[in-house]
Amino acid sequence: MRARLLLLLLSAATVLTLFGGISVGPVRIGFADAMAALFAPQAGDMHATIIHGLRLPRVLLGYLVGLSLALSGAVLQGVFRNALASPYVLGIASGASAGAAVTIALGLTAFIPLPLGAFIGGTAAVGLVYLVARPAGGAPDRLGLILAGVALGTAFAAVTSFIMFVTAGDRKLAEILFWTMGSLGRASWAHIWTLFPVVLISGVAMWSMSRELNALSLGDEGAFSLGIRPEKLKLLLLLLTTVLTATAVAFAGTIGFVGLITPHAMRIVLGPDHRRLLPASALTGGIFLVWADAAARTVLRPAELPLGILTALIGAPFFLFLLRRRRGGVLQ
Amino acid sequence: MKISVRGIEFAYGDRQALSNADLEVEPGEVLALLGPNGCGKTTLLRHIAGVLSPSLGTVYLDLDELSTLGARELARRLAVVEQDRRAEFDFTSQQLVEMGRLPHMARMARLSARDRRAVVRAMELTGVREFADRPVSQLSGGERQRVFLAMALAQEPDALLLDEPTAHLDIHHQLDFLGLVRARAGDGITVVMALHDVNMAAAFADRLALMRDGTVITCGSPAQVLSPDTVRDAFDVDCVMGRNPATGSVYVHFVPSAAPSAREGRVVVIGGGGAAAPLLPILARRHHVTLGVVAPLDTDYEVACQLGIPVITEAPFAPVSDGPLDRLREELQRADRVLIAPLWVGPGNLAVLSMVFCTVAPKDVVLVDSPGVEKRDFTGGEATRLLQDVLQRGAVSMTQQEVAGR
Repeated sequence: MRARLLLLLLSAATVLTLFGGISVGPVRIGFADAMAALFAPQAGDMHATIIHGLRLPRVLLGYLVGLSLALSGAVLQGVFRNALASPYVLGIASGASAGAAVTIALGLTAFIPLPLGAFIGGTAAVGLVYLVARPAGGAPDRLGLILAGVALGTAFAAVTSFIMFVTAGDRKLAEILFWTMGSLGRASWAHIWTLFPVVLISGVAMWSMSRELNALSLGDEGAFSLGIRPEKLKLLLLLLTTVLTATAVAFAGTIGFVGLITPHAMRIVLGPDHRRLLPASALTGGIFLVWADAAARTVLRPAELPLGILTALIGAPFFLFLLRRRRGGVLQ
Repeated sequence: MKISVRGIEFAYGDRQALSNADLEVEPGEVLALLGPNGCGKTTLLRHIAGVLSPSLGTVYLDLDELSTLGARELARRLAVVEQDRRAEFDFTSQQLVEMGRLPHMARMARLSARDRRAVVRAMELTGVREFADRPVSQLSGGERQRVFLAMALAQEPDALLLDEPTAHLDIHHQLDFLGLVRARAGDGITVVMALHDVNMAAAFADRLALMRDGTVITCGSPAQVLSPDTVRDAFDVDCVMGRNPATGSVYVHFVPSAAPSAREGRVVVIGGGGAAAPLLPILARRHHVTLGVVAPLDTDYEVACQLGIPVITEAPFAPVSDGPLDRLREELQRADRVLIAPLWVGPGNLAVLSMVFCTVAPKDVVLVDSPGVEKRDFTGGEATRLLQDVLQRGAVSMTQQEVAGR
């Protein structure tokens, strides 16, 4: 009952957020004017151009990225049976950053779009982590995956640092730096139309496996005794989250803490049942990121604060707060 | 459901865990797997659960080869409860029990009326409805195991596999849990459980399978399987067989073992009417003991047999005849010490006491709990006089505690 009410509230908040988000920005447009420009655009109206060309794609992308990260985080916390796992646990963020840095540094942007370079870097990193963690003739265990993710993540971060080091003084450095800090500034309708189907398909697929995800919290043998092939399920979920996260990161850069904290907080409110946890995390993640971006656009007006900095500033203290209220150890 | 394990071989790396293991479990039967740590109980259970596949041999569920069944089909037939199963996140009892319906549900389907009935029934049978909405992490160990049993029962399985399900429970919850399992077997569910506690197994299982070194060494009813020899064989522990006086089930009394070299000296114990019973286990650990002259129905006789002590017997309620007396004399002549238990003396066994006092030097005679002998004297004072006489001539008087302490 409580869960239904919360989901209903979150859906309503989503609508408010999307409308609210587009009326915030460096150019002051009142809510009424924004609505007018959105629903009844006049030809040549500058407000309509800003709303349709800049703010709407940006707000929608922000919502989809926040949703993707939070959803992936919720699923991966279930897969790793650890409430402190994030969508970046398998090195996707550092992989995507390295991919983006390589694309920019080598001047490949003329041939492949930057998001594709980042996507390839992110998915390649996860693939590599999986292969490295995999023992001969078996599936990797969760600790092996996490450790391989840490190790390879560090290696990929080193690659990015190295590229930044050699491009120092170049315009490319600023570009790489900006990308790694995360931003929705490059949002375009093409991004929305790429990310939306990925979100829709993987989201529904993940949600349809939420009972199995619940059973996974009993451990592999516990899940098996309920008729689930845990290795197959986990591999499928890893694939889905990797594609979803890598696509989101490709367009927005590495935005931290949304994917870690949103599901964690939702679990405290709603309990661990993934049938509710997944949609609630997804909606909350989207809402959070739109407002975080709105803040990032306005606090230093007319300059824009990189979004990743803001989410980290909000997220880190909240994360520490959650950490302290855990009864057991951090690494349980 | 009948479970048949035929000639299973399995190794973890190069450590052989099961070698040629065989097991047959009949439908509705409770079978307990017993054996020391590392004997293969858990590995065998994991094979029956389908978690591990043998390198050789086959497991059959009824007529089906287990390896041909899919995970969901397997989960509809078998449910598992382990000693330390935990849910990582804070699910409520109700949510966990509902998970038990997973093998029966289509993807994303809601719980059907039938599913709900199965969940309610499982929770009622295990008495966990009262904490349906409590997070499992807030329950005690015993309550939690009952929730996991409820989850297993919600699967409506044909067989329950339990791996040390009571390992961390206090005695009340152990009895409670095994009683619940026992009752489900009455509904036709086949139960295979690995247990540490031999006596719990004997009390709750129809049959026991004793394992050692990855194979089943004997299998049968508790009375057939448990003997000092088989227990020593499997566990390397000495024991005395008995019965639980309240339930009549076989009860194994374990004996702290003494090294064989520590057994020295020959001791003859004069007992009867249960007077020697408490002394025999203590003495048998340290000396070569012979018990004299008791009737085959006597408690002392039973205890001596359980301990493997040779006994000189006489028919009950009869005066001791020459045959047993001659044997007693031989034993007394070889003995280093003679212990006289605080027995009731009547005309029947007065001859035994006389024989002791004629054959053995008084200093080698030990009277246990000799004060109060008058009350045990049914010879009109003759026995009392004999005992007091031998005490004056140098015999030793000791209490039972002193004997135990020596």
